[in-house]
Amino acid sequence: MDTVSYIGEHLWLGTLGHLTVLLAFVSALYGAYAFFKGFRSEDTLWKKAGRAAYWTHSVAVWMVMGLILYAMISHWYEYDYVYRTVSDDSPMRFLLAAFWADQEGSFLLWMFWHCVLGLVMMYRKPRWSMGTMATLCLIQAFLSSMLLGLYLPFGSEDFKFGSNPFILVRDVYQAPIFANADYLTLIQGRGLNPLLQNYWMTIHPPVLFLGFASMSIPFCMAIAGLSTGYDRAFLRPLLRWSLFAAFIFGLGLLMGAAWAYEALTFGGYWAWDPVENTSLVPWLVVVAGIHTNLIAKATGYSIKTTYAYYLLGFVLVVYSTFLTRSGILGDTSVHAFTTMGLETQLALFIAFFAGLGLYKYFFGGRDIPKRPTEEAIYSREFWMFVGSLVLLFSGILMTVSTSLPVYNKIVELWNENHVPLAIDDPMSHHNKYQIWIGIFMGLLSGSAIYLRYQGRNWSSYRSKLLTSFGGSALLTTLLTYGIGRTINTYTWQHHLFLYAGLFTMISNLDYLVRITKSNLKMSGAAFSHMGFGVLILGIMFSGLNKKTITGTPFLQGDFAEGGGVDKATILIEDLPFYQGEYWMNYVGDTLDGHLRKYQLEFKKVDQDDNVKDQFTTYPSALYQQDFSKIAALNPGNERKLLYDVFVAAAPNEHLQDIEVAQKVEEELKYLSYLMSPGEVSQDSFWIVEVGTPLFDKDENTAHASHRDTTAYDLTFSLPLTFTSARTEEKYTIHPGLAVKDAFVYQQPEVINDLGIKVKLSEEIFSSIFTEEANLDYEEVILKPGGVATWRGFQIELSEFNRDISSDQYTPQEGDIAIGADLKIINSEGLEFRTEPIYILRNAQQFSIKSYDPANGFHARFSKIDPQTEMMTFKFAVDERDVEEYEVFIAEGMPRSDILIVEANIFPGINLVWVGCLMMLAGLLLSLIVKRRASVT
Amino acid sequence: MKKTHIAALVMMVLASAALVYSSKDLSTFSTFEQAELSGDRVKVSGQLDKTQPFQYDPEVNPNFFSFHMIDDAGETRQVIINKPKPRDFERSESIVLTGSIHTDGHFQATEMLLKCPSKYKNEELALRNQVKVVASAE
Repeated sequence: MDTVSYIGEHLWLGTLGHLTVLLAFVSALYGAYAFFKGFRSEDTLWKKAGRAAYWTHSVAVWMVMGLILYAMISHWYEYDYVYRTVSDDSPMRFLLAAFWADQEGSFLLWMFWHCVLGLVMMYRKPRWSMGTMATLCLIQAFLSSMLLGLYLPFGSEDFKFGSNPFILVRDVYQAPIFANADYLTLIQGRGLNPLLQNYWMTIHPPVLFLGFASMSIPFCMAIAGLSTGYDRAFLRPLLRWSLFAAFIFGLGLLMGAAWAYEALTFGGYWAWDPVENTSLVPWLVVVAGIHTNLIAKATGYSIKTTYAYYLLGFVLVVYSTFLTRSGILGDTSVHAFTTMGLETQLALFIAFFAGLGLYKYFFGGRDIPKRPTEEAIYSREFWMFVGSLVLLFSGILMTVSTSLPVYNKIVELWNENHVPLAIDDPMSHHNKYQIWIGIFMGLLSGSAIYLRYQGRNWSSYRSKLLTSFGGSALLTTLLTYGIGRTINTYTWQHHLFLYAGLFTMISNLDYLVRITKSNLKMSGAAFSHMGFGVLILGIMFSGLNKKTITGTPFLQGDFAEGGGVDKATILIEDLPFYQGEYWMNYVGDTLDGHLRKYQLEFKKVDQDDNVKDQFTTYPSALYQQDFSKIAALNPGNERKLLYDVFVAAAPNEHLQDIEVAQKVEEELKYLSYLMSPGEVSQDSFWIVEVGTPLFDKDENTAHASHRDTTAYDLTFSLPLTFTSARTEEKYTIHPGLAVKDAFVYQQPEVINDLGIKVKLSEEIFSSIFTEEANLDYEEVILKPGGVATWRGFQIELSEFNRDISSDQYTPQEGDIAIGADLKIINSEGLEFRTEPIYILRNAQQFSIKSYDPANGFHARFSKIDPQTEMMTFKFAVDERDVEEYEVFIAEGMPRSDILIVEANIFPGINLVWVGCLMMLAGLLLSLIVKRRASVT
Repeated sequence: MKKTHIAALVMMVLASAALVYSSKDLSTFSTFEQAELSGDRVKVSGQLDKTQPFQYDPEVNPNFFSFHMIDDAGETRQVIINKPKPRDFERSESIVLTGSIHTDGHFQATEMLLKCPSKYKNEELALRNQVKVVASAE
């Protein structure tokens, strides 16, 4: 294959791109060295060198991204990355989504944010920034190496060092198509997975990766902080960067949860999926770090602990990357990326930075002062510290459970017969433990906020505190009791959980209103803690009290034996159905591009038929590019202030997948019936009246496919009116046949209520339409206005038309074109018109035939004699001796007018979003306040 | 010893206890035979028995789906799950069921996980001008 010289490839881009990746890698390494030197010697020359290296690196990263995007926009499918992510009909608005949908693109996105953050960091006070930048450059070097695509000769197989985003499609696949020099004209991109063709895919990854990237800064700063003399002033910028990281990362997680909820792929906003867990854990750890950072700033305690949290936070981000991208999670996660073959490299990535962190933690920062006394039990710092431990504790539990696949892999190295372990039910497993975290967090954040750092003026403050504390506790008890009566709380643990949530909500609100008053400086924390309480409340309402309104309200089978509750129900088009307090009606569907939308009306009425609630929702099905099957089913949702209704809907099996449809068709047993117009046929289930055959192609005709006049050359349909023997209901259908370019198309019809499918025999076509070659044309001569009788047709040449428009005729200079308007009355006395066309071009005579399908009448206008005004026509009629039409009818056809529907109500879901947003707003508020404080 | 250290220690002990305790949430993959012997709720993995027809008729009951699975030990059993048939079921490479053996001998599943061949990896090259087909009975 090497001998083929390919046509149309743009190889320069790949070469340039690959060199740019190399440049990014080398400049990151050099930057690390220069910044390290500058950090050690505080030499401005090294600082300048480092900055130049980082600029070079950043420009290189942006250029790599630009080159890939350019190739994607240009649809250069010779590049595997383009081939994987773009197709000819990919909408441009998903270009960015497609860019970061795959591994290499998402690594670049991550690097992109590192570049932006690094360029900001680089111009901060050199004493800290150079140390920070040295580590950041190392991280970037590791990330760049993931894109190198070098094969190093280690071991039996070459060691793959990075995955080159500019690799050619013909180097990836072995296919005979590459024997063609012009293979590019034959292949087309695969395009973005339809599930990802979503606006969330455009906005969620950049925010999440900015979150990832911003977690690196506290890590790098901690390394710098542990490597040089202690300076208390350093705790301030450290806190600001960490607040920023927690805010953005939290926002990214929240967007992920919102996407999951909206697409309802997991039936909610959180499923304890490994990828969700390993992203949440670093966030918990950085939040823990923010708490100890505050302690350290205010009291001088917990400085090293703060560093430890920030070091751990980033290492966990890398660990999360490892889990998602190494393929080790296998089938335990929905998020799994396709494997890149970089497991070893990713493991090295973690090992290096975990090692660096551990080394610095244990051997660095020896001059950090230790406070001689320990924290007082009634001081805020003590309980904040305990709180940070609870967060860490939550993270440890989650990480260990999620790492089970890693454990299995490691054990397999020693014991090949190891049977992999799995968590039986991850949802209940995590909920069971994390509910206690929630309880502790709620109680701690609700009470510690009242305490003061170092327990200042404890004796005078004590009574005031106890009043607040007691008041909140009392109010919480009342509220818990009240809410516990309106919603289902199931167990005492859940009661306690609800109590903890309400407690932190109320006491933080109290703190916000009575104690901080106008003091913004402290309200960030109270606001976040209150948000946490609201979130707990939201979880209680929406998670624990989620209700399925479709399906049988009683249990099917024995629940304990695992029968479960029936959740789905069937809706038949236009047949309102009452379930779970709602009348549901499937009104119909519309197809727009590749998306089919189902219109579902919900109506809730009281005993007197007064409408209490009414809405229409549109679940939809997204077809694959070639329409062969449904790629994704999207739920419809009705969002209200107090609750959301989510409706998942799927059409019947055979409408989801063309393979199923073909199988159904193969299994149908068609019986042949001979039907004559005007007569009646009968079966045990139905009676059918046969109508007059239709040959029309126009927008009014009965068969839907025949309404587009340009779709077919010839059409035929037979109106059949079925009467159900059981219900006496009448159904009129128009099974049809059509011809386009010598292909005959079957246009069957289905009567869902009778479960029958009806189609016409293709033989009908040849018996009603005679082929041109077999027609027996006869000449008839007419004068203008003259009348002739030919084979029972009375033909009148009424007028001429010189303004010819026919799709078979393109006018040319010097043409003479005349249409003859023929008014014809057939043997039954019915009038029709037809217009054959005569053309004189370059002294040659042509004619364009006209045809009336209903009468089977063919007309040609072949000669004009200008002297005598004699017009020569040629006429022929189809040989129709059809008395009966052969119709095939099959029973047992699945209905195509049903939807399989599951509808769920999520009460109080908005509390979840409000709670999360409040937590984030609190972080943002603190960040702004801290920034302002640092400026003034 | 500092109080914070004590707090940390308590947390460590609690975490270890919780993790040891949670080991009962773990399960290994079982076979139909073991499931019948123990009567427990287990996970069984296997493949769809394509020689046997599966039964799903939403018009009769959208929450009844029955098929036959060959477990990893080679035994075939009828499986019933009271949920709609998942999309792409026929294309699944392997199936992981959670459930138990019912008294009449079938495996009653509550959860079903399908491993589908990665749609976006080992696929043939998509060619231009593919014949377009519409999955519709209209």
